[in-house]
Amino acid sequence: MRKYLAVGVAVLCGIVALVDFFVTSPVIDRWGAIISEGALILGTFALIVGVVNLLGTHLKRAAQGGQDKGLSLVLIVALLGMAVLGVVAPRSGGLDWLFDYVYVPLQATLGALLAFFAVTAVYRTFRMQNLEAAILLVSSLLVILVQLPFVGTFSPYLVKLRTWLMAVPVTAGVRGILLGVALGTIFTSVRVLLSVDRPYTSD
Amino acid sequence: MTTFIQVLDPYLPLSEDAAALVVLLIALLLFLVLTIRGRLRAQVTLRPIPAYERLEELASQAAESDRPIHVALGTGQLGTESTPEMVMGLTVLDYVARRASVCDQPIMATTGDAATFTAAQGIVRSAARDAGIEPEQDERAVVFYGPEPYAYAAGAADLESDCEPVALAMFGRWGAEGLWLSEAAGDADTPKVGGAAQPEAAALLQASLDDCVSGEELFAAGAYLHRRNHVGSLLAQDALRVVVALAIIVGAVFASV
Repeated sequence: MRKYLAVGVAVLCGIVALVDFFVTSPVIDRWGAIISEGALILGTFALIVGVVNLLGTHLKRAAQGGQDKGLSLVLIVALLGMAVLGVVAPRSGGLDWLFDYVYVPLQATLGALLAFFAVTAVYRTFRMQNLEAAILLVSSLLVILVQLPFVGTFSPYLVKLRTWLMAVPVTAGVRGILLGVALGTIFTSVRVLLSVDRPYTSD
Repeated sequence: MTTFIQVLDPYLPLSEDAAALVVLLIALLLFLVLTIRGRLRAQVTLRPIPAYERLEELASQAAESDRPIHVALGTGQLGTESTPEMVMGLTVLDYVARRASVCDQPIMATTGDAATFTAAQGIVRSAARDAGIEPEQDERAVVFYGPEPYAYAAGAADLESDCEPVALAMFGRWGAEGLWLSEAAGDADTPKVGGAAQPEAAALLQASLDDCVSGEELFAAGAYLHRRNHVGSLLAQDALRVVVALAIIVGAVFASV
Protein backbone atom coordinates (compact mmCIF):
# COMPACT_ATOMS: atom_id res chain seq x y z
CA MET A 1 0.00 0.00 0.00
CA ARG A 2 2.79 2.39 0.96
CA LYS A 3 4.59 1.63 -2.29
CA TYR A 4 1.49 2.43 -4.39
CA LEU A 5 0.91 5.66 -2.43
CA ALA A 6 4.52 6.76 -3.07
CA VAL A 7 4.23 5.92 -6.78
CA GLY A 8 0.89 7.72 -7.06
CA VAL A 9 2.16 10.89 -5.37
CA ALA A 10 5.36 10.91 -7.45
CA VAL A 11 3.55 10.43 -10.78
CA LEU A 12 0.87 13.01 -9.94
CA CYS A 13 3.44 15.63 -8.89
CA GLY A 14 5.48 14.93 -12.02
CA ILE A 15 2.47 15.32 -14.31
CA VAL A 16 1.36 18.56 -12.62
CA ALA A 17 4.90 20.01 -12.90
CA LEU A 18 5.08 18.96 -16.56
CA VAL A 19 1.65 20.41 -17.42
CA ASP A 20 2.56 23.62 -15.55
CA PHE A 21 5.53 24.03 -17.91
CA PHE A 22 3.36 23.97 -21.03
CA VAL A 23 0.00 25.36 -19.88
CA THR A 24 -0.72 28.82 -18.52
CA SER A 25 -3.61 28.48 -16.08
CA PRO A 26 -4.10 30.01 -12.61
CA VAL A 27 -5.10 26.65 -11.11
CA ILE A 28 -2.20 24.69 -12.62
CA ASP A 29 0.25 27.51 -11.83
CA ARG A 30 -0.84 27.52 -8.19
CA TRP A 31 -0.44 23.76 -7.79
CA GLY A 32 2.87 23.84 -9.65
CA ALA A 33 4.14 26.53 -7.27
CA ILE A 34 2.96 24.50 -4.25
CA ILE A 35 4.85 21.43 -5.50
CA SER A 36 8.02 23.44 -6.24
CA GLU A 37 8.00 25.16 -2.86
CA GLY A 38 7.21 21.88 -1.13
CA ALA A 39 10.22 20.26 -2.79
CA LEU A 40 12.39 23.16 -1.65
CA ILE A 41 11.18 22.79 1.94
CA LEU A 42 11.73 19.02 1.91
CA GLY A 43 15.22 19.59 0.49
CA THR A 44 16.02 21.93 3.37
CA PHE A 45 14.94 19.33 5.92
CA ALA A 46 16.98 16.72 4.04
CA LEU A 47 19.99 19.04 4.41
CA ILE A 48 19.47 19.06 8.18
CA VAL A 49 19.39 15.24 8.14
CA GLY A 50 22.60 15.21 6.10
CA VAL A 51 24.39 17.60 8.46
CA VAL A 52 23.33 15.48 11.45
CA ASN A 53 24.75 12.41 9.66
CA LEU A 54 28.03 14.22 9.00
CA LEU A 55 28.28 15.36 12.62
CA GLY A 56 27.46 11.87 13.86
CA THR A 57 30.12 10.27 11.65
CA HIS A 58 32.85 12.60 12.88
CA LEU A 59 31.73 12.61 16.52
CA LYS A 60 31.99 8.82 16.46
CA ARG A 61 35.43 8.99 14.87
CA ALA A 62 36.59 11.60 17.38
CA ALA A 63 35.29 9.48 20.27
CA GLN A 64 36.99 6.34 18.97
CA GLY A 65 40.35 8.09 18.80
CA GLY A 66 42.95 7.23 16.21
CA GLN A 67 45.19 9.37 14.04
CA ASP A 68 42.37 11.31 12.36
CA LYS A 69 40.65 12.27 15.60
CA GLY A 70 42.07 15.81 15.42
CA LEU A 71 40.79 16.37 11.88
CA SER A 72 37.30 15.26 12.91
CA LEU A 73 37.38 17.70 15.84
CA VAL A 74 38.45 20.54 13.50
CA LEU A 75 35.51 19.72 11.19
CA ILE A 76 33.03 19.66 14.07
CA VAL A 77 34.29 22.97 15.51
CA ALA A 78 34.32 24.64 12.06
CA LEU A 79 30.85 23.38 11.15
CA LEU A 80 29.27 24.44 14.43
CA GLY A 81 31.18 27.72 14.49
CA MET A 82 30.03 28.77 11.02
CA ALA A 83 26.46 27.67 11.75
CA VAL A 84 26.28 29.62 15.02
CA LEU A 85 27.89 32.71 13.48
CA GLY A 86 25.50 32.55 10.53
CA VAL A 87 22.47 32.38 12.82
CA VAL A 88 23.57 34.80 15.55
CA ALA A 89 25.33 37.44 13.46
CA PRO A 90 24.57 36.83 9.75
CA ARG A 91 25.58 40.32 8.62
CA SER A 92 28.68 40.58 10.73
CA GLY A 93 32.12 41.04 9.28
CA GLY A 94 33.22 37.80 10.95
CA LEU A 95 31.27 35.58 8.57
CA ASP A 96 32.57 37.48 5.55
CA TRP A 97 36.11 37.27 6.93
CA LEU A 98 35.85 33.49 7.38
CA PHE A 99 34.59 33.07 3.81
CA ASP A 100 37.17 35.43 2.26
CA TYR A 101 40.24 34.37 4.23
CA VAL A 102 39.58 30.71 5.11
CA TYR A 103 37.00 29.15 2.78
CA VAL A 104 38.06 30.70 -0.54
CA PRO A 105 41.84 30.06 -0.09
CA LEU A 106 41.14 26.44 0.90
CA GLN A 107 38.98 26.01 -2.18
CA ALA A 108 41.69 27.53 -4.38
CA THR A 109 44.33 25.25 -2.81
CA LEU A 110 42.34 22.11 -3.56
CA GLY A 111 41.66 23.36 -7.08
CA ALA A 112 45.36 24.00 -7.64
CA LEU A 113 46.11 20.33 -6.97
CA LEU A 114 44.03 19.40 -10.00
CA ALA A 115 46.83 20.38 -12.35
CA PHE A 116 49.12 17.75 -10.83
CA PHE A 117 46.37 15.11 -10.79
CA ALA A 118 45.63 15.82 -14.45
CA VAL A 119 49.30 15.38 -15.37
CA THR A 120 49.59 12.06 -13.51
CA ALA A 121 46.36 10.78 -15.00
CA VAL A 122 47.44 11.68 -18.54
CA TYR A 123 50.92 10.22 -17.96
CA ARG A 124 49.37 6.91 -16.91
CA THR A 125 47.20 6.96 -20.01
CA PHE A 126 50.23 7.53 -22.27
CA ARG A 127 52.05 4.60 -20.66
CA MET A 128 49.27 2.26 -21.79
CA GLN A 129 50.56 2.62 -25.38
CA ASN A 130 47.34 1.83 -27.20
CA LEU A 131 45.50 3.56 -30.03
CA GLU A 132 43.39 5.73 -27.71
CA ALA A 133 46.47 6.95 -25.87
CA ALA A 134 48.12 7.81 -29.20
CA ILE A 135 45.04 9.79 -30.30
CA LEU A 136 45.00 11.59 -26.94
CA LEU A 137 48.70 12.45 -27.26
CA VAL A 138 48.47 13.79 -30.81
CA SER A 139 45.28 15.78 -30.25
CA SER A 140 46.52 17.22 -26.93
CA LEU A 141 49.83 18.38 -28.44
CA LEU A 142 48.08 19.86 -31.45
CA VAL A 143 45.56 21.80 -29.35
CA ILE A 144 48.26 23.03 -26.94
CA LEU A 145 50.48 24.21 -29.80
CA VAL A 146 47.77 26.09 -31.67
CA GLN A 147 46.47 27.70 -28.47
CA LEU A 148 49.82 29.36 -27.72
CA PRO A 149 49.41 33.17 -27.92
CA PHE A 150 52.45 33.65 -30.21
CA VAL A 151 51.52 30.90 -32.66
CA GLY A 152 50.67 33.52 -35.28
CA THR A 153 54.34 34.50 -35.54
CA PHE A 154 55.20 31.04 -36.94
CA SER A 155 52.50 30.93 -39.56
CA PRO A 156 49.10 32.59 -40.11
CA TYR A 157 47.75 29.18 -41.11
CA LEU A 158 48.18 27.96 -37.53
CA VAL A 159 45.72 30.65 -36.37
CA LYS A 160 43.25 29.47 -39.01
CA LEU A 161 43.88 25.87 -37.92
CA ARG A 162 43.11 26.85 -34.34
CA THR A 163 39.87 28.55 -35.33
CA TRP A 164 38.86 25.58 -37.50
CA LEU A 165 39.70 23.04 -34.78
CA MET A 166 37.55 24.81 -32.18
CA ALA A 167 34.70 25.59 -34.58
CA VAL A 168 34.37 22.29 -36.44
CA PRO A 169 35.62 18.99 -34.93
CA VAL A 170 35.54 20.04 -31.26
CA THR A 171 32.13 21.69 -31.49
CA ALA A 172 30.76 18.81 -33.56
CA GLY A 173 32.00 16.25 -31.06
CA VAL A 174 30.66 18.15 -28.06
CA ARG A 175 27.29 18.69 -29.73
CA GLY A 176 27.05 14.99 -30.56
CA ILE A 177 27.74 14.05 -26.94
CA LEU A 178 25.29 16.66 -25.66
CA LEU A 179 22.60 15.41 -28.05
CA GLY A 180 23.01 11.92 -26.62
CA VAL A 181 22.94 13.31 -23.08
CA ALA A 182 19.75 15.24 -23.87
CA LEU A 183 18.07 12.10 -25.19
CA GLY A 184 19.23 10.12 -22.16
CA THR A 185 17.87 12.85 -19.90
CA ILE A 186 14.50 12.79 -21.70
CA PHE A 187 14.10 9.04 -21.40
CA THR A 188 15.31 8.84 -17.80
CA SER A 189 12.73 11.48 -16.93
CA VAL A 190 10.03 9.61 -18.89
CA ARG A 191 10.91 6.41 -17.00
CA VAL A 192 10.56 8.18 -13.64
CA LEU A 193 7.35 9.93 -14.75
CA LEU A 194 5.73 6.67 -15.86
CA SER A 195 7.05 4.91 -12.71
CA VAL A 196 9.09 2.38 -14.71
CA ASP A 197 12.09 3.60 -12.68
CA ARG A 198 11.25 4.14 -9.01
CA PRO A 199 14.31 5.32 -7.06
CA TYR A 200 12.04 6.39 -4.20
CA THR A 201 10.76 2.85 -3.47
CA SER A 202 12.39 -0.52 -3.03
CA ASP A 203 11.70 -1.59 -6.65
CA MET B 1 16.71 34.41 -52.47
CA THR B 2 13.94 32.90 -50.32
CA THR B 3 14.84 29.52 -48.90
CA PHE B 4 12.38 26.67 -48.65
CA ILE B 5 12.10 26.96 -44.90
CA GLN B 6 11.22 30.65 -45.19
CA VAL B 7 8.35 29.65 -47.49
CA LEU B 8 7.13 27.13 -44.91
CA ASP B 9 7.60 29.44 -41.92
CA PRO B 10 4.10 31.05 -41.87
CA TYR B 11 2.57 27.55 -41.76
CA LEU B 12 4.85 26.30 -38.98
CA PRO B 13 4.33 28.67 -36.01
CA LEU B 14 6.23 26.39 -33.66
CA SER B 15 7.41 28.12 -30.54
CA GLU B 16 10.19 26.50 -28.49
CA ASP B 17 7.63 25.10 -26.04
CA ALA B 18 5.54 23.59 -28.82
CA ALA B 19 8.63 22.01 -30.38
CA ALA B 20 9.61 20.58 -26.98
CA LEU B 21 6.11 19.15 -26.58
CA VAL B 22 6.31 17.50 -30.02
CA VAL B 23 9.67 15.89 -29.13
CA LEU B 24 8.27 14.73 -25.77
CA LEU B 25 5.18 13.17 -27.38
CA ILE B 26 7.34 11.36 -29.96
CA ALA B 27 9.59 10.17 -27.11
CA LEU B 28 6.57 8.91 -25.12
CA LEU B 29 5.18 7.04 -28.13
CA LEU B 30 8.53 5.41 -28.94
CA PHE B 31 9.07 4.55 -25.28
CA LEU B 32 5.70 2.82 -24.88
CA VAL B 33 5.91 0.89 -28.16
CA LEU B 34 9.50 -0.27 -27.70
CA THR B 35 9.16 -1.07 -23.98
CA ILE B 36 6.14 -3.30 -24.65
CA ARG B 37 7.95 -4.85 -27.62
CA GLY B 38 11.10 -5.33 -25.48
CA ARG B 39 9.12 -7.19 -22.83
CA LEU B 40 7.53 -9.51 -25.38
CA ARG B 41 10.84 -10.39 -27.01
CA ALA B 42 12.97 -12.97 -25.22
CA GLN B 43 16.35 -11.31 -25.50
CA VAL B 44 17.69 -8.00 -26.75
CA THR B 45 21.42 -7.90 -27.48
CA LEU B 46 23.18 -4.81 -26.20
CA ARG B 47 26.69 -3.79 -27.23
CA PRO B 48 29.22 -4.46 -24.44
CA ILE B 49 30.17 -1.55 -22.18
CA PRO B 50 33.35 -2.52 -20.29
CA ALA B 51 32.59 -0.35 -17.26
CA TYR B 52 29.36 -2.19 -16.45
CA GLU B 53 30.92 -5.59 -17.10
CA ARG B 54 33.75 -4.66 -14.73
CA LEU B 55 31.26 -3.46 -12.13
CA GLU B 56 29.53 -6.86 -12.20
CA GLU B 57 32.89 -8.57 -11.64
CA LEU B 58 33.76 -6.19 -8.82
CA ALA B 59 30.40 -6.81 -7.13
CA SER B 60 31.19 -10.55 -7.10
CA GLN B 61 34.69 -9.81 -5.82
CA ALA B 62 33.31 -7.64 -3.03
CA ALA B 63 30.97 -10.44 -1.96
CA GLU B 64 33.96 -12.75 -1.51
CA SER B 65 36.33 -10.26 0.12
CA ASP B 66 34.11 -8.87 2.91
CA ARG B 67 35.05 -5.35 1.78
CA PRO B 68 32.57 -2.88 0.28
CA ILE B 69 32.51 -1.14 -3.06
CA HIS B 70 32.59 2.63 -2.53
CA VAL B 71 29.75 4.03 -4.65
CA ALA B 72 30.46 7.75 -5.02
CA LEU B 73 27.39 9.64 -6.27
CA GLY B 74 28.94 13.08 -6.75
CA THR B 75 27.57 16.49 -5.92
CA GLY B 76 24.65 16.76 -8.31
CA GLN B 77 21.31 17.65 -6.79
CA LEU B 78 17.99 15.86 -7.10
CA GLY B 79 15.40 18.37 -8.29
CA THR B 80 17.77 20.28 -10.58
CA GLU B 81 19.02 19.65 -14.12
CA SER B 82 21.38 16.97 -12.78
CA THR B 83 18.47 14.80 -11.54
CA PRO B 84 18.71 12.17 -14.33
CA GLU B 85 22.43 11.64 -13.65
CA MET B 86 21.80 11.30 -9.93
CA VAL B 87 18.95 8.84 -10.61
CA MET B 88 21.40 6.69 -12.58
CA GLY B 89 23.89 6.91 -9.71
CA LEU B 90 21.16 5.68 -7.36
CA THR B 91 20.40 2.86 -9.83
CA VAL B 92 24.03 1.73 -9.63
CA LEU B 93 23.92 1.99 -5.81
CA ASP B 94 20.74 -0.12 -5.81
CA TYR B 95 22.50 -2.81 -7.85
CA VAL B 96 25.61 -2.83 -5.63
CA ALA B 97 23.53 -2.72 -2.43
CA ARG B 98 21.33 -5.66 -3.48
CA ARG B 99 24.35 -7.76 -4.49
CA ALA B 100 26.04 -6.93 -1.17
CA SER B 101 22.91 -7.56 0.92
CA VAL B 102 22.36 -11.02 -0.55
CA CYS B 103 25.77 -12.01 0.89
CA ASP B 104 25.36 -9.85 4.03
CA GLN B 105 28.34 -7.73 3.00
CA PRO B 106 29.02 -4.08 3.94
CA ILE B 107 27.86 -1.21 1.76
CA MET B 108 29.54 2.18 1.36
CA ALA B 109 28.18 5.23 -0.47
CA THR B 110 28.93 8.93 -0.40
CA THR B 111 27.09 11.91 -1.78
CA GLY B 112 27.19 15.69 -1.63
CA ASP B 113 23.43 16.23 -1.97
CA ALA B 114 21.04 15.95 0.97
CA ALA B 115 18.06 14.68 -1.03
CA THR B 116 20.26 12.05 -2.72
CA PHE B 117 21.58 11.12 0.73
CA THR B 118 18.07 10.32 2.03
CA ALA B 119 17.22 8.41 -1.16
CA ALA B 120 20.48 6.44 -0.90
CA GLN B 121 19.75 5.56 2.73
CA GLY B 122 16.33 4.32 1.69
CA ILE B 123 17.87 2.18 -1.07
CA VAL B 124 20.43 0.63 1.29
CA ARG B 125 17.77 -0.17 3.91
CA SER B 126 15.37 -1.57 1.29
CA ALA B 127 18.10 -3.79 -0.13
CA ALA B 128 18.86 -5.17 3.34
CA ARG B 129 15.17 -5.70 4.13
CA ASP B 130 14.49 -7.43 0.81
CA ALA B 131 17.45 -9.76 1.46
CA GLY B 132 15.87 -10.72 4.78
CA ILE B 133 18.48 -9.15 7.08
CA GLU B 134 18.19 -6.36 9.61
CA PRO B 135 19.02 -2.96 8.02
CA GLU B 136 22.54 -1.89 8.91
CA GLN B 137 22.44 0.82 11.53
CA ASP B 138 25.99 1.99 10.87
CA GLU B 139 25.70 5.62 9.76
CA ARG B 140 28.81 5.19 7.66
CA ALA B 141 26.91 2.98 5.17
CA VAL B 142 25.85 6.23 3.46
CA VAL B 143 27.74 9.44 4.24
CA PHE B 144 26.88 13.01 3.33
CA TYR B 145 29.81 15.39 2.78
CA GLY B 146 28.08 18.58 1.71
CA PRO B 147 27.45 20.24 -1.66
CA GLU B 148 30.85 21.95 -1.99
CA PRO B 149 32.59 19.81 -4.66
CA TYR B 150 36.16 19.82 -3.31
CA ALA B 151 34.99 19.30 0.26
CA TYR B 152 33.01 16.29 -0.91
CA ALA B 153 35.97 14.89 -2.81
CA ALA B 154 38.29 15.38 0.17
CA GLY B 155 35.83 13.72 2.54
CA ALA B 156 35.15 10.79 0.21
CA ALA B 157 38.91 10.27 -0.35
CA ASP B 158 39.44 10.28 3.41
CA LEU B 159 36.68 7.69 3.86
CA GLU B 160 38.37 5.54 1.21
CA SER B 161 41.63 5.50 3.15
CA ASP B 162 39.69 4.71 6.33
CA CYS B 163 37.52 1.83 5.04
CA GLU B 164 39.75 0.42 2.23
CA PRO B 165 37.01 -0.60 -0.19
CA VAL B 166 37.60 -3.26 -2.81
CA ALA B 167 36.80 -0.78 -5.60
CA LEU B 168 35.62 2.75 -6.36
CA ALA B 169 32.49 3.26 -8.49
CA MET B 170 31.85 6.88 -9.45
CA PHE B 171 28.43 7.27 -11.05
CA GLY B 172 26.50 10.53 -10.89
CA ARG B 173 27.12 14.16 -11.63
CA TRP B 174 30.81 15.10 -11.62
CA GLY B 175 32.93 18.13 -12.27
CA ALA B 176 36.65 18.65 -11.75
CA GLU B 177 36.33 17.13 -8.27
CA GLY B 178 35.82 13.77 -9.96
CA LEU B 179 39.45 13.81 -11.09
CA TRP B 180 40.47 14.82 -7.57
CA LEU B 181 38.63 11.88 -6.02
CA SER B 182 39.72 9.28 -8.56
CA GLU B 183 43.39 10.26 -8.19
CA ALA B 184 43.48 10.85 -4.43
CA ALA B 185 41.32 7.95 -3.33
CA GLY B 186 42.70 4.53 -2.54
CA ASP B 187 45.96 3.24 -3.91
CA ALA B 188 47.11 2.67 -7.48
CA ASP B 189 45.86 -0.95 -7.43
CA THR B 190 42.28 -0.14 -6.39
CA PRO B 191 40.00 -0.73 -9.39
CA LYS B 192 38.12 2.42 -10.37
CA VAL B 193 35.10 2.53 -12.65
CA GLY B 194 32.56 5.23 -13.29
CA GLY B 195 31.67 8.02 -15.62
CA ALA B 196 29.91 11.29 -16.24
CA ALA B 197 27.42 12.59 -18.76
CA GLN B 198 28.94 16.05 -19.19
CA PRO B 199 31.79 16.11 -21.76
CA GLU B 200 34.17 18.17 -19.60
CA ALA B 201 33.98 15.79 -16.64
CA ALA B 202 33.91 12.68 -18.84
CA ALA B 203 37.20 13.76 -20.46
CA LEU B 204 38.89 14.05 -17.06
CA LEU B 205 37.51 10.75 -15.79
CA GLN B 206 38.41 8.94 -19.03
CA ALA B 207 42.09 9.60 -18.28
CA SER B 208 41.84 8.61 -14.63
CA LEU B 209 39.48 5.64 -14.32
CA ASP B 210 40.21 2.08 -15.40
CA ASP B 211 36.86 1.80 -17.20
CA CYS B 212 34.74 4.83 -17.93
CA VAL B 213 31.31 5.58 -19.36
CA SER B 214 30.71 8.95 -20.94
CA GLY B 215 27.71 10.88 -22.18
CA GLU B 216 24.58 8.84 -22.74
CA GLU B 217 26.22 5.56 -21.66
CA LEU B 218 25.64 6.71 -18.07
CA PHE B 219 21.88 6.53 -18.66
CA ALA B 220 22.16 2.89 -19.76
CA ALA B 221 23.27 1.70 -16.31
CA GLY B 222 19.92 0.17 -15.37
CA ALA B 223 19.55 -1.77 -18.62
CA TYR B 224 23.06 -3.22 -18.34
CA LEU B 225 22.92 -4.10 -14.65
CA HIS B 226 19.68 -5.31 -13.12
CA ARG B 227 16.79 -3.36 -14.62
CA ARG B 228 15.88 -5.19 -17.81
CA ASN B 229 12.72 -3.07 -18.10
CA HIS B 230 15.01 -0.16 -19.07
CA VAL B 231 16.00 -1.87 -22.33
CA GLY B 232 12.91 -0.53 -24.10
CA SER B 233 13.86 3.06 -23.28
CA LEU B 234 17.39 2.42 -24.64
CA LEU B 235 15.88 1.22 -27.92
CA ALA B 236 13.57 4.26 -27.96
CA GLN B 237 16.58 6.50 -27.32
CA ASP B 238 18.36 5.05 -30.35
CA ALA B 239 15.25 5.46 -32.50
CA LEU B 240 14.74 9.08 -31.44
CA ARG B 241 18.42 9.79 -32.15
CA VAL B 242 17.88 8.69 -35.75
CA VAL B 243 14.75 10.87 -35.97
CA VAL B 244 16.60 13.92 -34.61
CA ALA B 245 19.59 13.36 -36.91
CA LEU B 246 17.30 13.13 -39.95
CA ALA B 247 15.42 16.24 -38.82
CA ILE B 248 18.73 18.15 -38.53
CA ILE B 249 19.79 17.06 -42.03
CA VAL B 250 16.39 17.85 -43.56
CA GLY B 251 16.26 21.20 -41.76
CA ALA B 252 19.77 22.10 -42.93
CA VAL B 253 18.80 21.24 -46.52
CA PHE B 254 15.54 23.24 -46.32
CA ALA B 255 17.39 26.22 -44.84
CA SER B 256 19.90 26.13 -47.69
CA VAL B 257 17.72 25.44 -50.70
